[in-house]
Amino acid sequence: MINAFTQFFHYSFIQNVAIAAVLLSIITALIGSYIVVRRLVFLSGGITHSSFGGIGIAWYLGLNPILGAVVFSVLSAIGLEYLSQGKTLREDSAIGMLWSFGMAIGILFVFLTPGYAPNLMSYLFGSIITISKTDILLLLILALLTLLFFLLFYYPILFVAFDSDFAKTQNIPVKFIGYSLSILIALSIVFAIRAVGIILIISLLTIPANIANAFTHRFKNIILISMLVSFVSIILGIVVSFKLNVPSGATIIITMMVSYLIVKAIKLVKHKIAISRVA
Amino acid sequence: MIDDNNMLIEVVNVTAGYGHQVVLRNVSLPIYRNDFIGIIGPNGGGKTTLIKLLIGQIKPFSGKIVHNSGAQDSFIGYLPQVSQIDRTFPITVREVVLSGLLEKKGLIGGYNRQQKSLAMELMEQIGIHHLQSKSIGLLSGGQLQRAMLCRALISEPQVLILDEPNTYVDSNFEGELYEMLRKLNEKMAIVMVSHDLGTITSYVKTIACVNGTLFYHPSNQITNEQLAAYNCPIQIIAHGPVPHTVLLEHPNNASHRIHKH
Repeated sequence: MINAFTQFFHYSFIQNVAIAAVLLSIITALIGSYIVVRRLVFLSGGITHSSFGGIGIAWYLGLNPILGAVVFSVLSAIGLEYLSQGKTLREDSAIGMLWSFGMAIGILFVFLTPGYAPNLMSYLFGSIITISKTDILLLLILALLTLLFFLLFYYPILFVAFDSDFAKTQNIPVKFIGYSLSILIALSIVFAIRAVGIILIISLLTIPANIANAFTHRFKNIILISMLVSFVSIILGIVVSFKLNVPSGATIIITMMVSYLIVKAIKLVKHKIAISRVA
Repeated sequence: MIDDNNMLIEVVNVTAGYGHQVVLRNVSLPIYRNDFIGIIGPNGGGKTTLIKLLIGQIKPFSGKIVHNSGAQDSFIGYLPQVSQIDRTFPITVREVVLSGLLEKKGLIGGYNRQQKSLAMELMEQIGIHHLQSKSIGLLSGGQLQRAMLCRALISEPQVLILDEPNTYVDSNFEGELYEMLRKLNEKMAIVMVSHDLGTITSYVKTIACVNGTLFYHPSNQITNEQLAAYNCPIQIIAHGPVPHTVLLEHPNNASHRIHKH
């Protein structure tokens, strides 16, 4: 394993990957903790998959696929936030329809595009190894934006997430907070697609927050522990994938899931021991 | 406009609902300083809609709701049903209480020392200061209800609105809660939704029956005939030493809850 690490850091692209891992950890810890405590995981899954429609259309038109994904995911996020405020449609149905509709649009346009689409797999499964300088710049901007938003509006975010009806009685701009976070969720999803891909991204957003929640019941600490868990899992996942020559996105997610199971198992054993002492 | 200086909120001829569906028609209700209004009525009659109107969560289709708040922030304190709260949410008791000062704190930044000590004092008064660092998931129903009550009270509202505060709490806390409310009522108007008229009639001063529309009954004594006339069938079985009217069972209303001690 140590050999794999040294081999790994021998390469020059590794700096890029390390920086990307830090930035991704910041973004996914903030957004992931929020969607987990607000129970927006399924909604985020819908936004993620609908973005494939944008990728397909942009591909067909010869534009940057990420641009298409941004347009699709931001519009879906705003649409879903709007629907959730009106309560005229079942929210899970709306998410389910959008989920596969986006994928359908994407598949159709990719099919219509002449020629072979070799890079398409990287949008589905991700590849943090091949991340570019432009991707890193975009990640940096998004990380700073998200961090700033959470630092400025930490309490309104927490209290709107906890009880938005009560927050409204406090004359807080609940809609502004809701829509801003929807847009940040959408952007985070799109930029994280480069790393782990559409299919795996939901785990990147949910597993670290759930690992963190096993240690703490404070929102602030969930975010901070998630950052650490994300970073360690991403680096460990990349190193393992490098050594075994398997896809990095999948390895990152499996690393996270194994960590989650270990944490849960330790908690279970501790709980059992505590009970047996009492008994 | 409100000409009566003692009127804090005036609901004037309000019709409201959701989408195209009208839930409440032509509702008028005065909320006076130091009033204690018990809101009763069958499920689906519009009690929750009325609360949502009062706290400004929904806007009326027609009519108006006049707030005689002066310049005060957080004029209304609101205690939702505890069942609406996500118990797994990572938030501490202290944070819940401080959320009641969100408007005073403003959108950006943290709480100052004075606001924090205010929260501490209030938690001491209500008897939950030892739980301040606990996550809400670890509280009993009564403890959570107290935390939510602190949140509603910390901004020193002039009107306190409670949505079925007696559900999901043990009967010990229920008695304490009513005593607390009686004391609070010296300082603020209280509007309380309850399904349990038998118990509340000895605490409330006036009664509002909500069932599609609203009948305001400016007394805490109400008979079954009046309830029937208000189209607001509620079964009351009185009990215990508290002196209040003992009423007969409404014949058409077998589905309502029977209160037993």
